[in-house]
Order: sequence, then C-alpha cells, then structure tokens
Amino acid sequence: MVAPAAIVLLLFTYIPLLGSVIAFMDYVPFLGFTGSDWVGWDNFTALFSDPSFWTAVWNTVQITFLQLALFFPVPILLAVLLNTVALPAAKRFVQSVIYLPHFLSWVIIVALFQQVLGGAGVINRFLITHGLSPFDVMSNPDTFKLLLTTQSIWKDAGWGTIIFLAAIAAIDPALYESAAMDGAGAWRRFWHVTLPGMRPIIVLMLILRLGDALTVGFEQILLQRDAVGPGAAEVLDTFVYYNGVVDGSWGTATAAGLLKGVVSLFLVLAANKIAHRFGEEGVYKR
Amino acid sequence: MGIRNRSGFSASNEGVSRRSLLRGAGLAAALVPMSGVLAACGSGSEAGGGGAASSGAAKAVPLPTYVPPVKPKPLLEGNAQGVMDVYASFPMDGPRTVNGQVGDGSDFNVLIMTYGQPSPPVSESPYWQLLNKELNLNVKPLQVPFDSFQTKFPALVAGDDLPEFVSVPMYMNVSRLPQLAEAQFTDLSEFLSGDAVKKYPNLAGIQNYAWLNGYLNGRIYGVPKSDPIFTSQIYTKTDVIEAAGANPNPTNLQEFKDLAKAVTNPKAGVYAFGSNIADFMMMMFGVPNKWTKRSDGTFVSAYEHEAFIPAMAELADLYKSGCFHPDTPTLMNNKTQRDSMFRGGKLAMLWDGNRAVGIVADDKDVVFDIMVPFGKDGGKGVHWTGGGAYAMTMIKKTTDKNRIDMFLRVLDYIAAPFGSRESFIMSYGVEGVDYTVKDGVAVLTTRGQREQDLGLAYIVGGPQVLCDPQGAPGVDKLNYEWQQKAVPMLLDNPAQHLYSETFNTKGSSLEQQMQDAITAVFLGREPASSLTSAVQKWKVAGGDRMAKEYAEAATLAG
Repeated sequence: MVAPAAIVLLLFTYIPLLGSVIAFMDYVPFLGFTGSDWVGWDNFTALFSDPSFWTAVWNTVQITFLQLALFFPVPILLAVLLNTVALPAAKRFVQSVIYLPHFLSWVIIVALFQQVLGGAGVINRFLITHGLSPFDVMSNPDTFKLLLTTQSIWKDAGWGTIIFLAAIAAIDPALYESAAMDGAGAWRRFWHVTLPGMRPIIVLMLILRLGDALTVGFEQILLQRDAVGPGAAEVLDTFVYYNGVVDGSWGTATAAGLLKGVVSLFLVLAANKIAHRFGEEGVYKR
Repeated sequence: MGIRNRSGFSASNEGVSRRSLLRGAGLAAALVPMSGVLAACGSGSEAGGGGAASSGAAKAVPLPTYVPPVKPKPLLEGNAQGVMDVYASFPMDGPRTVNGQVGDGSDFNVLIMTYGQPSPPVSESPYWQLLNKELNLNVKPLQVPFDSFQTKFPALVAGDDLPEFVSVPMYMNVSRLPQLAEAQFTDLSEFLSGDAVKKYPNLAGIQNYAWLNGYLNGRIYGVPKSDPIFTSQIYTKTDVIEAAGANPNPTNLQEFKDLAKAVTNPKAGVYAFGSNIADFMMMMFGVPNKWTKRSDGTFVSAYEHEAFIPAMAELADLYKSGCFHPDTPTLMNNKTQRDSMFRGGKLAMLWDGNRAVGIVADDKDVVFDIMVPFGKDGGKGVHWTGGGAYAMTMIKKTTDKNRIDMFLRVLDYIAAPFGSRESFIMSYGVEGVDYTVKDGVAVLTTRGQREQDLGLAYIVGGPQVLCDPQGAPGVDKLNYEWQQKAVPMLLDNPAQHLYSETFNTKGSSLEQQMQDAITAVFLGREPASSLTSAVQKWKVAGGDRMAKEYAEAATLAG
C-alpha cells in the first residue's frame, strides 16, 4: 500500500533534489549537467554580494513574520467561532461561504481587491465623486506586506479552519458536560477544554507552517510586484524566478533556492525541538 | 486579416515596450559576434573572438542576397526608409510564388508563441486542413501563450524537449541564444548565405536588416520574420480630445502637458494615460536609442545622456498631476484592459507598438489618430527604431539535407509576399468558411479570424504592408501618413547588431534593475535624482562592460 506513495515521493521529491548540484555549477540547460562547468561556491559568493538578494531575504522574513502573527491565528479563531454556531444548516452555510475564496485563483483575488481598493476602485470612486482625496492601497509599498497578508487571510483562512474543526470534533463531549456540571461557563469551557484539545494540532500546524515559512507566495506577489516595486515586493521565490527562469542564471537561482530549503529545514528542526521541550509531540517523536 | 495586423503583434505590456525592445535589441546584438558584421559586409574573414559565443573554427558567411519580392501596385507607395505600402484590399488573383511540392507528408512540429486563444483542432479547422494540404505536411504547432513563453521555453530546453522547429520571438529574452543555437540548432549557412538563398525566392525577399537578427556566431542559424522599423507611439482618441476642447496635435512639452491635463476628468473616469510613457518622454527629450557611438569609437549608454533624468523628472510630474489613470501601477501589466479602456474612451491616449494599430482599428467605430513625434521645445522630434525582426525560426540540429531543404521550402511558402496566391491562402483560408467575398473584396468571417490563430504568420516573412479593409475606415492611410512624418525622425541604436557577452548573460537583470528604478520615479516612490545612483549601479554591474564590448565589436566590424 505504501509503495505508490513511496515511488511518487522518490520520483518527484528525492530525485529532483539531485538537481541542487546546479548551485555549484555554471549551469547551461542545453549543455546539461555533464557539459556545464563546476564553479564551487562562486554562485553563493555572487548571491551574498548581490544587494537585491538581501532585499528579497528581508522582505521574505517580514512577510513570514506578518503571516505567522496575523494569518496563523485566524483559522483557529474562525474554527472556534464556527463551533459555537448551534444550527447545523447555518454552520454549513457559513463554512461554504468562507471556503469559497480558496478555490479562486490569485489573478481573480488580486483583480477583486483592485476593484475595491485600487486607485479607481469602488472606495476611491466614492471618495472622488464626493470631493475627497483618494488613496491607493494597491500600489503603496509601505502597506504592501499588510495587503498581501490580508489577501491571504481572505483567500485561505476559511479553508484553514477544516483541520481545526476536525480537532475540535475529536474532543470528547463528556469533557464539556463535566465542565458544565462543575459550573464552567462558555469561556472556561473554551479555555480549559477546547484549547487544550486543539493544542497538539496547533503545534503541529505551526511547525509545518515554519517548514514552509520562507515560501510566502509566488503568483500573488508576481502579479503585484511592478505596482509597488521590487524594494517592497521582491521575495526569495520571485528572486529565483527572475534570476533563473528569466535571466538564465540557473546557478545563482538554485543557490538561492537551496539556501531557502536549508533555512526552512533548520526552522522545522528548531520548532520541533521547542515543541518537545514543551511536552508536545511535534512532527515526529524524540 | 491584413497580413500586418496580427502577424506578430507585440503583446508586451506596452506593445513593444522599452524593456522588450532592449531585450530584443540585446538578443539581436547577441546574435552577431564580433566579426559577424564584418563578414556580413563581405570580408569573409575568420570569426574570431566573440567570447563564449564564438565558434572558433566557424567561417563567417555573407548574408543572403536580397531579391526584392514581386508586389502588386500599391494604393500608396512605401519607401526604402521604412514607410509601408498601402493596399485597399488583398488581391484575390495573385501570382503563384511557390512551385512544386513543399513538404513530404511528414509531421511539422513547430514551437510558436501566440497571443490569442489556441486555434480549433485540425479536425474542426478547414483553414488548418487547407494549409496541411497546401504544404503537404501534418502541421503540429506547439502554441505557447506570450505570457508563459519565458517560463516554458527554458523548461523545454532544459528537458531537451524542444520540437524539431522552433520560432523564438526576438523581444523575449532567451538567455545565451548564440550558444544555444550552436549547440542545438542547424547551421543553415550553406543553404541561405549569398546567392544560395535564391533557391527559396520568398526568403530572398526578406530584408538584410532582418537577417542580421538570425546571424549567430558569423553563421546563419535562423530565418527571420521582419518587423516594421518603428517602435511604439501614442494613439490619440480624437473624439475624447475634441470633446475636452484640447489640441490633439501638441508640438512641444508644454502643449503635451496641456493636452494631458485638459482631457483628464476624474469624475467621468477619463484619464490621459494608463501606462508608463517613459520612452515617449525620452524621445521627446532627444535621448538616444539605447546607445550612442562617439567619434572616438566609444559607446555611451542612453542612461548617461544629459536629458535622461530631466525627461524622467517631467514624467514623474505628469503622473503627480493626476493625468494617469489611478490604476496605472497595475494597468501597466494589463494590455488587454488598457486597450479596452482606450476604445471605451476612458483613456484619451494609448502608448503602444506600431503594429497595435491593427488591434486598435479592429473596432470600426473607434475614432483615433497617431501623435506625431516632437521635441520638448518644439521642432523635430526623435523616434527610435526597432530591431528589424520579430522572430527567428530555427531547425534542430540535423545533417539530413533533405529535411533542412524541406524546412526551408515550408518557410519559403509561409514567407510568400503580400499579393501572392500563397499569402492569400495564409491570410484568408477557405472561401465560404473562413472568408466571403463582398464587392470583390475578401472579408474574413468570425470563424476565419478564429482559425487563423494557428500562428504560422508569426514565424517568417518579408516586408509587411498596410492592408486592413475590415478595420476602422482610413486606418491604413492614417498610419501611412504618420510613418511618412516619423521616418525623418528615426534614430538607430548603434549597438543593435553588435555582440556583447555581458548583455548576453546579464542584460535582462540589468535592464530589469533600471526599469524598476524608472518605475519608482514615475510613480513617485523615488525622486528623479535617485536615477543617478541607479545608473551608477547599472554601470558598475555591467553597463560599463557592455559599452566596452560594443566598442570592441564595432571596431572589429569596421
């Protein structure tokens, strides 16, 4: 039963890892691995001396932090709130509504935001027709990272509730009944029953999220990069795209990607270790 | 469909944008190694140098001999400087220019970048079936939409998955193309150089400046689709401008600014522009076309020209004054929406490529004109030239001379000049299905327009003409007259067909940095003075090396 999954993993995850050698080569696609020259650490040296790489790193870290601080708690809160909806039909309806944006592409999401918040969007049209000064959220580099996080929340927070709702559903109802018998109100039941019941999943999701922390969105950012400039919008993924795919500097781009992967691995290991310290299982046991 | 209209319309953000052009130009420059041009002039010397792009032992060859194609008498005669011939309609009884069997009945797998929707499958396309029959081939186009070409092409190269025939748009940046050509594609020199090309008469009708783009490492690796000489221009929505009581024909910067302000009406949602017009401002300020060659043989970038930063400062002021659509930052990446807003009267002016006139004029009711270039203080303006070719088509490495010959016969058919029988078939397809005849004029049906999105018109061709009987009335004459006025203002890029290794390997990221800096000034994120340090960075990161390499290449080229 495991074989198909293992084969897929091997073919599409482990074998492509071998491509990381490009980071140490002046890779030319039509010459291939054997025809391209080895350059040792030159690509990393070039990367570290490139100011635009550090801009991309700094932007990525900022967006990662914002998403962890602002995005991550939202599905948890939504799941808890959804759990308080007593009427099943209403609950299903709300769930359907908040799941829906997940299925829209980033092109649509960005266009929707543009229609509402853009320079000629609904809000600004209202302001202009009433003689007020317009403001353009969509092209403001200072608020761009907040905008990105808001778009992510709007698109995926609802979808993210699924796993937390499942965690809540797995909590033994007897615990709620006992707590209620002991006189615990709604807040106490949430604090002493729901939250502890969700904690292992929250920790697990946080660690998994950290593994992906430096992947802060590619298409979403690429679509809006020119409007705010690379100073605000260049992240590691777009840096890799422009250097590798567009510019043909495959070696430098792969070096950046490899670096990102290594940092992500350390983040996962560190988070897992911290989880163990706090008595949680984390992604894997000690 | 007029041959001109959609046969290679640039779909970059602004038609042929500056970035695109620079890429195209760079690509073109990359195609000719140091000794290439010299050889092209007939020296026949050994191809030396050229860095990684050189082919050590390869002998540079002469360009194909130009034999002007036979053409029907035009309504309005063009000229050798670049003004295109105008025809009222496509002659329906044109001469046959291709004799004998073209293909051998085999598959013709060709990579083509396209702009429209994919064409209907062959089983549902009489146009495609007719073409297969004419060519005696099973044409199998691998159509790649323009917005994913830059991702798809490297993936096909890396996966060794390129089809047998490949058409590369010149304005797309294909990294290390000279090396790629040498490693993967067939040297066509012995088939096309000098008088050899006469075996394929329609290919001999392609202009020399277009062939220069397919001239790599001193050899001929590609067959070009030639391009009008003009870059982008400003289309004016005459009715909107007249309604605002403004002057649609400014002759200096002040009048231009007055026009932009007069037509802008935020309450009505009407604005002067919806995209960056940095190139237009630079031309108005007399900034050179990418590079200047000094009398001592050195090359200086246009970014170092004294008028560059003042031009950008004026551009930023214009943006600040509110003449640009509030969605301009995002509209810059949305050509379709900009076109639609222009047609709908929400943009009074549109900055786009010369061939975009066909797209603009598709709507017969749209009333427009083209702005004549002018200098900032009045007088004659400057209009930059382009690279001379839209695309270059190559065949994967093979020693099979029959296969190469067939490839060239097919391209010869596709390159048939305006007015010929073959060109009519390519442009109109099957009577009664793809076109009907009204008053002796062939008129494409909706289905015909759809089926023609096969894309073969993008891959090869000689001089283009102005013939748009289905477009807005008078559009061809209007464009012709504009071209006549623009020709005396044309300014070439002296580095256009010179090789720079630095440009070849780092050109696009360097250009990206400069474009980002210009956009930041345009949108008011940075002051115009910030461009001084941006240019300095650009010079240190590779601009100076490019200048040196162009100077060396020019010296070698004589």
